[in-house]
Amino acid sequence: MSRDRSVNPSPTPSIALVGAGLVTTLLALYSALVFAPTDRVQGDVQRLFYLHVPAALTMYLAILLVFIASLRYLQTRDAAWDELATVGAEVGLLWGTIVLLTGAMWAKPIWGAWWTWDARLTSFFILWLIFVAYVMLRSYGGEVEQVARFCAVLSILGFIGMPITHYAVEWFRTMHPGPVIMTEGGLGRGLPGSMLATFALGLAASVALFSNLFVLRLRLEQQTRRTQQIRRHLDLMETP
Amino acid sequence: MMTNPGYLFAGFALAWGLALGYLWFLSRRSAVVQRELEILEERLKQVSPQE
Repeated sequence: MSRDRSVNPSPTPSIALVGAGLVTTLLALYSALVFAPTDRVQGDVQRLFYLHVPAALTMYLAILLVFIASLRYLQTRDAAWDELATVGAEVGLLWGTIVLLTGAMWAKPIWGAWWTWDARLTSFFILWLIFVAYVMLRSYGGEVEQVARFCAVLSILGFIGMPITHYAVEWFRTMHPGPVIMTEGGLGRGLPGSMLATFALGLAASVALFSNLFVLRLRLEQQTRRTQQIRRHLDLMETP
Repeated sequence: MMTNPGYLFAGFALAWGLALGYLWFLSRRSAVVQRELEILEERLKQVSPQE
């Protein structure tokens, strides 16, 4: 990953990526709100499943990305890996916020409460807080390499927290439902075909939208770092 | 007849509101930083024409 960049070399989402995002999003919305059958027990509010669970899985993907980029940064000290980690953490935090909000909207009519401190919800909230701390640490500023190292350590904590959150429903007694996609009976055996197809579309849309925002945010990060680099250079040149 | 439509639409609206709001923030911020970058690149060229 080269550090040399001219005025406008930053990435933008390709037409294919934007197109994939739009098409999968429209199909996922139609499928979630119209095509998928109504759940007999929970009613229509169960349709939040097609938004809530794909968003959570996309956040896991972001956590994995941030973890790998942070490890590579610690190994190589190449700022390009740090850029990827920074961007992944911020966009991942947005997805985590969507998970918390859609979860609350689903919980209220089904459990009678917006929130409960059970193992899955609490561990996810801690994971979310780790990424809030990550983004706050970035915006706080300070010595660039030191901040990057602290953030890399936070991302490792986040990665450790991910399986704890995921398996919390199996390790502890929780109000949160157990897995319906990856069940003991096999992948996708816990759902009827139409619901599974809608879930797959929701996941594709979530990943496509995440990828588009990731590329846009990466562009902004590269522009910002280039700006800071030139400022430092100019300051050095103009200092008598 | 839909059951609990308020919670369902609030969930979708919040998620879409956040994603679109973030997209709007990114586009605005990116335009500002791009302008700033062009000005700085120009200044850099003036200060060090050999680069």
